Amino acid sequence: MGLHSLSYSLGSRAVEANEMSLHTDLLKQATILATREPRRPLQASLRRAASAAYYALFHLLVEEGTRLMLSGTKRKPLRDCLARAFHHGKMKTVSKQFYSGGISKKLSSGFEPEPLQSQIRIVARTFCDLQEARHDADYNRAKRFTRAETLDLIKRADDAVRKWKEVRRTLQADTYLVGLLAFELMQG
Amino acid sequence: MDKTAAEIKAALQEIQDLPTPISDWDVEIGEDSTNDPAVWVYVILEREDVNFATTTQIRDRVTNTVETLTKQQRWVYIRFRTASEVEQLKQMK
Repeated sequence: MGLHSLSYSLGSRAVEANEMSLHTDLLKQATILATREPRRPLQASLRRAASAAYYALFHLLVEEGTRLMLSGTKRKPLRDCLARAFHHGKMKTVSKQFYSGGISKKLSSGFEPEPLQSQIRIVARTFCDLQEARHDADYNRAKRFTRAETLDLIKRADDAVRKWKEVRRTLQADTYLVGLLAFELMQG
Repeated sequence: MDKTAAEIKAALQEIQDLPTPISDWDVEIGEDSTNDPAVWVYVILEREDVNFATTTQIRDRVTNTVETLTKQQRWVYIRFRTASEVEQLKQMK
């Protein structure tokens, strides 16, 4: 059976469940890559592991963001299109706001004066740190990764996923997702 | 006035009661991939078996120290390495 027919035979619900677990699979893959050479890890393995850790969190947030607007299996093609509208650099800019406390009024007016939940702050911080590591992993040939450093990045991604699950669907979490997608297009 | 890498390292060396021994600190200053001012702190751990709760505690202490010193003008990236890994990296060079 070819890969195409295999995915087709899974059915729409199975395909959707598969997408929901992409972040979990990426975290598992990252751990496998970071630990596959017992003595001297290959830089290629560590770099791909750091990159996978970032993409685990990235895809979780994109999935959650698109599902805010478009839920259900019938809207999956639209979700996939909308997912391409998320921009790494803009997501980092918004995440920096959420970590540092300088959230634009465009976003914060819905939940002020409530303080930002610590879990969202951790997710935002982790997103920025992992994205920078991913950038190094993919483009910076001078940078050397170590196993301890890479495993710590993977654990941070895993911790951010757990923290996200504690706050998802709250007003602040939804605000963060909207900011990740559309902050620059929003009018104050 | 902007702090130098040496000044930041000196401040990190003053941190007391960290949950695991630190072999050394390596500090680099520059701009990150989105052209924002940043500081990279490499925490060199003496021990190999340091768990995530411990690195989280150290990360929080280091972040607070550097953010206070730099008045939050630089994003703080913290990476953990072990002393033996640093030795290996030196041999690779």
